Amino acid sequence: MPFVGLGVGRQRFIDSGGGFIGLLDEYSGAAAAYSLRKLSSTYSGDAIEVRRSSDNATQDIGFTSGELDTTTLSTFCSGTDGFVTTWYDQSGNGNDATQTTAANQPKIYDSSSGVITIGDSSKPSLECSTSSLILTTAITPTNFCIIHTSEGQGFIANINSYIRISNYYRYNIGGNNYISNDGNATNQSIYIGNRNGTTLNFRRNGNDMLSSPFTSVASALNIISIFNVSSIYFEGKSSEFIIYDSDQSSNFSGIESNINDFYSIY
Amino acid sequence: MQGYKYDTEQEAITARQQAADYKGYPIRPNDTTIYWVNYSYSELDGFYYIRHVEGLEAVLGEPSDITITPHEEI
Repeated sequence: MPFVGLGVGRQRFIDSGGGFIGLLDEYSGAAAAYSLRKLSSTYSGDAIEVRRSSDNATQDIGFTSGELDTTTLSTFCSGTDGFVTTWYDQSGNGNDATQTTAANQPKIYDSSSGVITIGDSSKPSLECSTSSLILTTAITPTNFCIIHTSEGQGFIANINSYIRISNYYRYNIGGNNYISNDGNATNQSIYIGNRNGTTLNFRRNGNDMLSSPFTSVASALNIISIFNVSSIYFEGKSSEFIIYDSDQSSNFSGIESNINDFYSIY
Repeated sequence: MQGYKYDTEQEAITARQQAADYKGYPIRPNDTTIYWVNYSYSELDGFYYIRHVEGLEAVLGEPSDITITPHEEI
């Protein structure tokens, strides 16, 4: 299938006919997928539901040309702050991530500076402080691959098993620690945590950071969050989480390239 | 951390509802947002707590310093 890249920071399109091709078209089978860019040609829903603080009105914000419709977002939130109440699942499984508590909702629009952005690409991002989003249906994988692009002290988590970034990476699953020897949480990065049988891999920006024997049973994944030591909360920025309930080690390079082409991370 | 500490979950639920009522959540019947703040449970300390946010003192009173023992720290 012929692809024509539109340059760094752009989504991919087929040249003839201009059809959209997203990450999930190339790497299918995600259990849940959340992003501020469009990930699938078959997904026709919105990206996020936003609550504005001035009157607590909400509005769905969709995509334009495969990216978050920041024009509609800016119009809706003009002069006030905007917070994400729902991050819609683009996988087709309807597993939306929501936050019913106002104080824990990630921020997407600032009354003074406008749309929150991440990294050098200045793409839209969720800004999180004591924030988390709860999956509608918990995912209980045997093998898994969790991919996210984030900046700050962050990770993907659930109550009992989590991946942590705080100047290092850590998996804690079933009470066993798996610690990387490298980490850099201050810049936007692409993180992949993958389990294949008894092997656990952790990658950052295309580099293996950790490969460890892994025998614990992962418990249900039900929260997208970034860890703050005393509580399970976001502390940083994030723009994309994709969760596979299967091993994706053969697709690491392709997935990382897709994300990096869009966000220009490394 | 500044916040509010509760010995029982029911006390925390009541405080959460008081805060929601103060802000008028949910604003509309089908709103996703139904609470202003939520409570957490510190397993290692055995109490419930609500983290302070700006303005919460108007309904829950002045917050106090709360120390949470993290699950694990390296």
